Amino acid sequence: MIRNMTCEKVRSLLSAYIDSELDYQELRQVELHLLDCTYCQEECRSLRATKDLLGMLESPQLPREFWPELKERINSHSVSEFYRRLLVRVLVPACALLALAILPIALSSNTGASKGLTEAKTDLVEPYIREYVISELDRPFSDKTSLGFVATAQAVTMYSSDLLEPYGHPTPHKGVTPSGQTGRKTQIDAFKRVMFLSPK
Amino acid sequence: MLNTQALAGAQYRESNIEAFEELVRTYDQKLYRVALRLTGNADEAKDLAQEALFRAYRSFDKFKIGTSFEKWLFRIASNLYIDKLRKHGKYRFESLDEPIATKDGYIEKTLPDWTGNPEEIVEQNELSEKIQAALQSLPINYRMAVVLYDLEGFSYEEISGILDCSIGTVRSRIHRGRRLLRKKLAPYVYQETEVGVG
Repeated sequence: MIRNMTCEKVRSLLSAYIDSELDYQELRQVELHLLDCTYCQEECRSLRATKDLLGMLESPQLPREFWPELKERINSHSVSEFYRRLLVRVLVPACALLALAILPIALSSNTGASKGLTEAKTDLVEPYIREYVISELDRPFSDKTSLGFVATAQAVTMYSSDLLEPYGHPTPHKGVTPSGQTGRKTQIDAFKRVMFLSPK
Repeated sequence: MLNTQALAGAQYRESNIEAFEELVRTYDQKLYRVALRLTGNADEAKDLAQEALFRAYRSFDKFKIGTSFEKWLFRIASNLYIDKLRKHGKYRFESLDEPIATKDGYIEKTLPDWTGNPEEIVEQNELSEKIQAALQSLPINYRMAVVLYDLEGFSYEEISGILDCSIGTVRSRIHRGRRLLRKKLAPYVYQETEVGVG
């Protein structure tokens, strides 16, 4: 059984009725109401006329310069994006890897140790730390600065054990061990440099 | 068809502006028309449409393959326009029908009454200007719903996706928008009704 709608309710549905966007029940109720209500019929006609008026608006043409301007903007964005990606994806990781490779060599030469470069590398940075740092460098959003600190801190820790050995402390690993007073002074200087206590 | 085009676009957009242009060429006119009806100004419309397309290009990797590219693009444009209005303090939610509260009570808003001089009904370009001015006076939510439905032929469901609201809200906005337009364009509306009846 279809219940009669009030004029107010019908009027609220008239735009959707005109647009054929009512469900079946609503449609039946509105149609039934409109059969008898001249006021709502007039309301419906005026809303339809309003909708038709909008259809009389002229269709504007796209300005001629629209695409040339947009393409120029996209092009300049693409160039800057290319350099940004180059910096983030290539240069930063490359610099970090380079720093990682140079760090053990630099530390080794500062100690004045007689060990070869290859040996020094393996002594000063644990392989698993290096693997971790290298793998993290390739990942997006990895913190390159933080990774640099991890590598540096690890190297410093290992190096400091060498520093302590001449004073009689036990050495936790087999590292670079310079001999005599000159060797110890060199160690201290190098350690200060690593800890940024001395500029050179 | 739209989805297929979007899918193809997603594959080659990365390094090919021409391909992106080819994909969105289907919508550029429509986008510009909507922008013009929303802003009421050719320069602003061009800026809005270009900005929407530029953002679509820039964030194309966020577009979900298999969904409607058109809806996605128009959503970007409508959000952009609302943001712009908010930024410039032109955004308003209130209905033109609502009375204004004052310390002496409520007063009704007055709208220009054109019913007294229907003889002034004039040529097409002038009518367009009147309609555009009436559209411009609508609250933005009503204007967007009316423009998308009456001028661009989106369905209620599509509009609810673009404007991120329920179909009931779309229905209500279109209806209220039309009622306000009817009030503003009364001489034209009732002339047309009489012609229709006669």
